[in-house]
Formats: sequence, structure tokens, C-alpha cells
Amino acid sequence: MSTDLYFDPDKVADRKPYEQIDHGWASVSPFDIPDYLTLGIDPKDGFIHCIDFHYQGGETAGQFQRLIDPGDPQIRVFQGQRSGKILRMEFSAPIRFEQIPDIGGRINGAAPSIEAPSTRLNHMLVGRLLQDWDKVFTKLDEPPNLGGG
Amino acid sequence: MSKQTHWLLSATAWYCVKFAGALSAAGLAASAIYAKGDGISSWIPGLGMTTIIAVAEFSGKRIDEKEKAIRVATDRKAAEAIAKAEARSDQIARQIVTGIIKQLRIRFFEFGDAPIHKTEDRITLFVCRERVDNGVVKKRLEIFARAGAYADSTCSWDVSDNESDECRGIAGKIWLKGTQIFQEAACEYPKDDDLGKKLQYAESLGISVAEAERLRLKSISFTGFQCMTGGDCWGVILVDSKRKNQILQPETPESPKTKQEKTRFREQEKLLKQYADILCLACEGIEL
Repeated sequence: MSTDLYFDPDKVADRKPYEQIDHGWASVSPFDIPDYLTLGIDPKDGFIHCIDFHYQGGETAGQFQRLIDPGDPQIRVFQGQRSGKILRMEFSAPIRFEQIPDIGGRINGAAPSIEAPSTRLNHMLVGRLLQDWDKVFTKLDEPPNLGGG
Repeated sequence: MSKQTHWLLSATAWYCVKFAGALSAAGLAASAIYAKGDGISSWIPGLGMTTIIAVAEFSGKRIDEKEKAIRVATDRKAAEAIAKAEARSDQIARQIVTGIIKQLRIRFFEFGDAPIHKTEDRITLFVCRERVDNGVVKKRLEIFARAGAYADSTCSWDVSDNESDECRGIAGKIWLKGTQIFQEAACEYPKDDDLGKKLQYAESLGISVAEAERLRLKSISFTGFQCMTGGDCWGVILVDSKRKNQILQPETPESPKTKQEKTRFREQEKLLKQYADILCLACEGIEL
């Protein structure tokens, strides 16, 4: 079972990270800002086992995976071949909805050590969006109740 | 075999191979075996047969050559028609994309009562093209469509996926970093020959003084990002202006923004995201 959740562009814009560079600023490219995400939910228990992020530009996930910190559950991130943006997240053990902000915090925490600017900024944004996951979707006043968890 | 027969045989063999083909040469050889060198009269049936074969082969060759000539002419015409159709479709694609970025330019730069400046506010879509230079593949950003001043410019910027020094100008920097970039020149380009200012201006934009001198519009503020299609980087979208505060920079504690500036900054960001989505789809079908 899967559920699509669309991001509110205004809420996303509020969370865009900016980094100072020589004579200016760098931020997430519009093509690295997710339009919506898909939660992969196990229909038996309602737990989330993966999250897919959807962007414009048609980039597909490469073989390269990033393992985010040694925390529990393990987070495996599948990145775009070119930009390194997060396209898919898989968890070693299914998570509950309440754990999503914690996952976001871990992604955000891992971001500063990423060298490539586009990958780093995308991880920061995705981390922030998951940390505030109950505030960033369109026409959702409260977190979706999908049963279980 | 007499000397006469030898000459006749050699001459006939040469003509057979040159004008007819291997089959008539083989016929000639067969008639030589048949005649066993018993004088000229014994050659007549063999030579007669060889002549018939040679004439047939010669005619066949002529027909093949004619067909080949027709095929070449048809292929050339088809290639010309394809090239013409491709040029036309490229022209149409440029017109469509130019229309999109013209609309973006108006919406991006017009705010409240402040009108857009005809010559100082601009948006350019660069396309990345590859060429082989001394066996090395080089990439270059060329203008695909432009809304604003010098739309017919042939200006282009070198880029590289590996070497930052080979990425020229703001467009090159955007290509290299893969992020959205907001940038302001360190100073306005001097109207006099102040080399210090020229150097300051050029260095802040990642170009040489000579390159800065060649720029016809000496813009001071910029923003832009890579244009992605089909999972690959197609080119770069660059917004530039010669006017201050037309392309707003993010707010910092050192440079707080007014409420109006914050609203405008947010609007500009949203527009760029919307038009990035449109351009991504528009450029997807354009073959490079």
C-alpha cells in the first residue's frame, strides 16, 4: 500500500536552506525540491518501510546508496545519479509515523558532512521537511491517520 | 599457342575483367581449356559464348550503376529534407522556449508599480553542447533562448564536469555546483578605465577582465540554476540585471529585508520553481 502526500510550495520555501558563497548564496535548485512523497506502508501493520521523493527533471536513482549514521533503524538513501538528491529512503525496520521527525533530524544531522553542495542542500531540505512533516503538506491540517502504527 | 592467339586471348581477358566481370573472364578460361591451343578456329565457339556473357555482364553493370546513382540522389534529397525539418523544429522549439522565458521575465521583474526595464533585466536559457577538441570532449554553454537585451548574442561559456577553473562566469559556476545561485558583482563595472574596479568586477563573476570587457550588458545581480530534463543536465537558466535590488538575495541578520522585499523574494522563488517545471517539460523533446 502507498500514499502520496504533496508538499505545500510556500511551506517548502520557508524551509529552503541557504549557504554563503563568494559574493552570494547557494540554495537548493528547483529541480532538487521535492513535489511530493510516497509512503510505502505495510497494509498488515500500517508501518512505513520506505519513502519515495518525486521531483521534476526525471532523474533516476543510481546504485549508490548512503547509509545515514549508525542509528536505529538504519536509513538507506538512494540518491540521484547526477545531483545526489534523495530519491528513496528505506528503513532496516519499519517505522511508525511518530518516528518520521526523528528520521528527518538524522538526515539533517548527516547533511553537513556531505561534500557535494547540491546533495548537501537537498539532504538539509528533506531533513527539515520530515522534521516538520505534519506542517508541510497541502490541505492537511493534521497528520494523516492511515491506521496502525 | 601462336603469338596471335596469345595476344587475342590476353586482350579479350583484359576487356572482360574491366568492362564485364569475373564470369566472362571465367568463360574465357573455360574456352581456352576447351580449345587446348588447336588454332584460332577452335577458339570461335568459346569466344562467341564469352562475348555473349561479357555483353550481358556489361549491361548488368550499367543498370547497377544507374540504380546506384538514383539511390545516392534520393538519399541526398532525403538527408536534405531531414536536415531542413530538423532546423525548422529547432526554430519552433526556440520560439516556444523564448515565449516561456519572456513571460517569466515579465512576471519576475515586474513588481507592484515598478515596471520592467527593457534593456537591463534579462533571462537566458543556455544549452550545453559538446565538441571534440584535439580528441578531448569539451562542453560549452551556448545561448538557446533569451528574453531581454542582446537576444541575438553568440556569447558562450566553457564548462567542465571535473575542473572548476574551466567553468567560466556565473553560468559556469551554476553548472559546476548544481545548486541555485544568488550572486552580486563586487561593484558596478566602471565607466572609465579604472582597471582596479574592472578586475574587482570580473573576479567576483569568475571571469577575466577581457571577458568582462566583451560583455555588452554589465549586469550586477544574478540568479540561476541547472535545467534538468530526462535525468540529465540540459543547460542553465540565468536571470541577470544591471539594476540593484531587482534579483533579491536571501535575508541575513546583517541585511534584514522589509516586508515588501520578503514578499517579493518569496514570489520570485516560487516563479522560478514553477517555470523550471515548465521549461523542463518544454526542453525534454528538443534534440541536441
